Amino acid sequence: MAEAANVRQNLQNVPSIFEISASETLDNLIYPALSKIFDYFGLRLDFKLWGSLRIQEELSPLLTWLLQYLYLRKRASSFGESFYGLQRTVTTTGDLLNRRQQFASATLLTFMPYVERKLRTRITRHEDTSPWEQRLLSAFHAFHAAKAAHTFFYLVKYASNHSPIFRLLGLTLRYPSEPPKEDQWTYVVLKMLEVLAFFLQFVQWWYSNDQRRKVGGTLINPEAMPRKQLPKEVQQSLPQRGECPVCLLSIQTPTACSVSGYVFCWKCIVSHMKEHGTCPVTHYPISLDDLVRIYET
Amino acid sequence: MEKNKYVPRVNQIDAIYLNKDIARLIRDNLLENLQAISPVLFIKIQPELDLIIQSAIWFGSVGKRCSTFGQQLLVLAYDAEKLTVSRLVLHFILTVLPGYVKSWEERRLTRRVEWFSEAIMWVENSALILNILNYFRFLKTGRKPTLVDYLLGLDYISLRNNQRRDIGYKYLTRELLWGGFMEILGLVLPIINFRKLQRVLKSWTFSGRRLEDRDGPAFLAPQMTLSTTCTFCGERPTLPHHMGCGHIYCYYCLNANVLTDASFCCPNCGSACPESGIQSV
Repeated sequence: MAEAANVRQNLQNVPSIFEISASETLDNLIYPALSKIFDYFGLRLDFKLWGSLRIQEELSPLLTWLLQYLYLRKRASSFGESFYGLQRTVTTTGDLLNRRQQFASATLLTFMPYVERKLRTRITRHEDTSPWEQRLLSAFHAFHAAKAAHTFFYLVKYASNHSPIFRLLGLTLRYPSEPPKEDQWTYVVLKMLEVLAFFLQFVQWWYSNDQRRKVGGTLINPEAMPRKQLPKEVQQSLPQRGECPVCLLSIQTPTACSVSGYVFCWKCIVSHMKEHGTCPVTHYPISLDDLVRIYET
Repeated sequence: MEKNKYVPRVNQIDAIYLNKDIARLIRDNLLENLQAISPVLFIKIQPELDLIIQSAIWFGSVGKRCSTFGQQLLVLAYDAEKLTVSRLVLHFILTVLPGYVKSWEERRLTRRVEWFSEAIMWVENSALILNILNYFRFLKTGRKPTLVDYLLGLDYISLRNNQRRDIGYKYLTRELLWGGFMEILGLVLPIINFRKLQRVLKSWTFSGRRLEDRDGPAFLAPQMTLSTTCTFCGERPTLPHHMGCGHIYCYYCLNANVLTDASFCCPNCGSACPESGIQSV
C-alpha cells in the first residue's frame, strides 16, 4: 500500500487515498513496536520493581500520545501523516491547528485504538465481559464501516475529509503550502524520530516474518541426560516402566512432573504434593502448576 | 483545442491496478466490519451487499465523472463524447453484474444447476481468453487496455497537455533504501553471535569486579524453591542443573549453551563453567 502512495498526480491537490491509508498504517505501527520493545526490556532488565502490574501496557499509549502531540505541535500532522508529507488544516478557514485541536487530535489518535485494543483482548481471552462491552465493540465495528463509507464519499468529492473523526474535529488533510520552519533542536529531534520510524517498521517486520529468525544462531542439541549408575540391588527394586514410583502399581491417570520428569498416578502425586510439597523421587519443591496431565491415544 | 489523444501504456495499466486497489480497500473494510457486527445476517445477504457496494463505486466514478478512481488519480478519463447513455448502461452491465451472477451459481439458487454452472464456466473461460488476446492487441496499438473498453469502443484521454509521467521519487527512494536496509539486517542479525559479544562487553566493563569474584567462594550450592525459574529461559526448570555458581538452569538450556559456546558464562553473575561440567541439582 505504501508503494501506491508514490503516485501523486491529482488535479485538485488533495491527498490520494493511498497516502492516507499508508499514513494510518504507520500510525498504527507505533503501539505494537513499542510493546515489543518494552517486552524485550522487561524480560532482560527484570522489571520486578513494578511488581505484577503490567506497566508497559499503560506506558506505550502514553509514549504514543506524546509522540503524536509533539508532531501535531511542530508540524500540524500526526507521525504517519508527516512521514508522507501531509498536513492537517481547519476545513472552513484553511488555518493550521490551534492548541485545543492539537490536544483533541492527539487524544483521539491514541485513545480510540487503545480502548478498541483493550476490548478485543478481553473478548478473545473469553473473560467475563458484560453486554455493554459487546455493544461497544459492535459500535467500533460500525465506526470502521462508517469510516470506509466516508472514504468512498471522499473519493467522489462529496466530503472534504476522509474520516468521520476529521469531520467531527473540522479538519482536512492537505499538502503543506510551504516547508515547515523549525530551529536546529526541533530539526534534530524530528530527524531522530524519522529514523525511529524505520526501526518501528523493522521491529514489526522482524516479528511478523513466518521464518523463525533466531538472533545469535541456533543452539546445538545436547544428548539425553545420562542415567545415574546405581548398585545392582537398588536397580532390582526400582519400579518397572509403566509403574507408579509411589504406589508401585500400574499408573492410573498418568501425570508427569515437569520439574523432575517422572510420571505418577494422578492421585498419588497430588496427595503427596499436598502433604509434602515435593517430588517423591527427587525431592524438588513442586506445586500444582508443575504437574502435566498425559493423554494417551 | 484538440484534446490530448496520446496516453502512455504504463499509465493506462497503472490506472487499472489503482482502481482495483481502491475498490478492494473500500469493499473489504466495509464487508469485514459489517460481518463482525452480525455474522449470521451477513452470510445471507453478502452477495447483495457486494452488488450494492460495487454499484455505488461504479456510479460514483464512471457514472458521475466518466473516469474510474484510478484514472482520476492519474489525471485520465474516458472520452466523454463516446460515452453515451447506452454505452454507460452496457459498461455497468459488463463490469458489475457478472460478479453478482456468479454468486447465484455459488449459492445454488437455480433449479438447473448443472446447465447453469457449465454456462458460467464457459463464459468465464471465454472472457479470460479474450482478455489475453485483447491485452496483446493493446500492447501493439496502445489503446483500449481492457476487453470491456474494446467492446464498447472507449478510449483513454489525458486531461493535461503535459504528457510526461510525473513520479514522486522522494518516497520511493526512501522506501527502497529502508526496505533494502531491513533485508540486510534480516540477513546479518542471525549470523552474529550476540552471546559472545555480550560476554566480551561484560568482561571489559566489569574487569575489576571479575578479579574480586575469582577470590570468592568456588562453589555455591543451588537452592531449589517453588518460585525458582531457569536463568536462561525464565520458565520453571525442567531437569534442573547448575554450573557451580548457584543459579539453576534447565538441563537443555545449560547443556545446549555449553555445547554451542565453550566459554559460556552465567548471564546473571558471569561465572565460567567449571572443568567438571554441569551437575544435577
